[in-house]
Amino acid sequence: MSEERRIAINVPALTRVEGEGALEVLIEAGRIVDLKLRIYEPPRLFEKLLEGRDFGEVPDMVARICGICPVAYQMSAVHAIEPVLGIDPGPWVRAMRRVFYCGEWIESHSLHIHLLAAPDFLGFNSITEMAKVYPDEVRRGLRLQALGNELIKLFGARSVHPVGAKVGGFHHAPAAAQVAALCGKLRAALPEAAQLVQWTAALKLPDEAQGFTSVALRHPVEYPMNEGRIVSDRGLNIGIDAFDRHFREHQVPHSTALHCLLDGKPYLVGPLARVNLNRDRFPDAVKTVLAEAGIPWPSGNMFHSIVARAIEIYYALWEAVRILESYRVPDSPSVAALTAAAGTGYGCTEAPRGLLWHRYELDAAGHVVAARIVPPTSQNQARIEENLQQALLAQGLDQAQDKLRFHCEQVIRNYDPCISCATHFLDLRLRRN
Amino acid sequence: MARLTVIGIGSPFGDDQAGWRVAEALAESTCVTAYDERLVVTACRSPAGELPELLANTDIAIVVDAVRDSGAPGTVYRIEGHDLPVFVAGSLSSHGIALRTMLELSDVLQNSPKAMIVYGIEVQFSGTDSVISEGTRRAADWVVEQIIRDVAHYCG
Repeated sequence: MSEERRIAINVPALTRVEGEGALEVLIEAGRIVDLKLRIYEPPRLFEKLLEGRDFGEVPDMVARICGICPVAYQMSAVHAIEPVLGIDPGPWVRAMRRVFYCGEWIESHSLHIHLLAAPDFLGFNSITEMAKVYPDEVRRGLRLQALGNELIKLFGARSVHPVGAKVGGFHHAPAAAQVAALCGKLRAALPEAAQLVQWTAALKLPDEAQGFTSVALRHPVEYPMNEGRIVSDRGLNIGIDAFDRHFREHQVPHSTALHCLLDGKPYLVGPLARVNLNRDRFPDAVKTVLAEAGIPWPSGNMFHSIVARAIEIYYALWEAVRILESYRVPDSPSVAALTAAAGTGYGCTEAPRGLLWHRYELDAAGHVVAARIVPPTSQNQARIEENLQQALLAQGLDQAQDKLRFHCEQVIRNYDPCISCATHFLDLRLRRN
Repeated sequence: MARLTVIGIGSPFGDDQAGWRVAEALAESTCVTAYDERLVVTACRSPAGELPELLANTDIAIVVDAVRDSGAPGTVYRIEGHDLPVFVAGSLSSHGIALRTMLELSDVLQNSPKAMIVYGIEVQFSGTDSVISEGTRRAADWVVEQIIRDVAHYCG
């Protein structure tokens, strides 16, 4: 059939995506001939802004890159800088940084599951529509999110752009009574979080198995947060300082955020990749909850990301309780004296959305000579485009435009992309000739 | 005794920092110490972040955000009651969940405070640097004075 149609769809305000971008799809003669996830906001130039700054300023500066995951930026930065200075902050700082990170996972994942993703799977256009039918579930999400915020505040003084972390540790150690009170709340939330895992697994998720490469940190004994080697399910196993040898960032004309490829190919970072690669590192209590979800892991269905986020909330609560149950106020919450040194340091941690890689070159005065930051959404861009291609073909290109558009939005939202912080809409233009 | 929370929504960038500027100025004023625990002043990045929790735990909320409407830059809107949902549609949302959505959500979940006032500051631009325009700065300072009066009215 040679019928030719030209269709333009404009969605001036796609909700529930963090950031400013657009999707353009061109379908001709029943084929996708062009598909671009456009990110067009101005470059933020944080790496350049860091040049010349003292190493001590870096954690507070990078926290401002993202309002949703500032802890991740701080943690990658301090872990990159400390080896250059030749310091080890010790077991107390290490444990509390893990708790700090748990707060961010809980907050970010709860927000995404309940407010951003769940309406898609339950057939609602917005969270307010969903709340009319599922008020208890939405309240649960808000409760968990608040708990995550509280955990961030415990060490960061505030949940928005926290200021508690520093190179060498924390500025302040919370009082034991404050920790005990919060620990009780975290423990009490565990049953609710376990229910959340089963609730997400019971959602009517699209069944779209795809082939992709999962990439995450891997630690010898723990589920990864602040430390580990970079591994993939295709045999990659490298130290974080070897990132550049395998991962290449490059510019594409349609995005102001760099794309990143692993040995020339798209790959996935984030909760699904972490669970695919590290579920054996969960403690037994978490493994049991995961098994009850009834999903065969590793999963090639990107829509299982929502279940992966839920199990990570449960784990983060469990891990924070485990650590805080034996909390003690230290003699000092940080390394007392820091001496500037020249060198290059690497930090790689697991942000809620995936691998966050930092590299800093410092001079002898401790000033930043060069900085590089590779955020997870940048790494996932090529995978999102690949996923969209596969998903559209699986749906059938002859489907109604509205259905294709909705599915594209759903696919993008499923990655919880944090395109940036100064954002307003995602504009979808679908042309079909 | 009624609890009042002032929430400045924004970011560290451009004119979008108007809400934060108001919150920071109030936090440093004698207004906060005068009313002790009855008054909370806080800055908020994304309406979806802390706003639901803040709204659920206060009797009176005063929200400040940057807006883009048809007014001149620096224009200040003070809205309360039933006009809120319409007005805040133009509020600059730095994330996918807008202020209006979160206010509606609080209403649906019956978490809304008994009284709410929204100050919208019409902004000129919202760049990615830290420069705030003169008009926005003046408007934010004016809003601080107005909120001090609001606080005195509700808590005095």
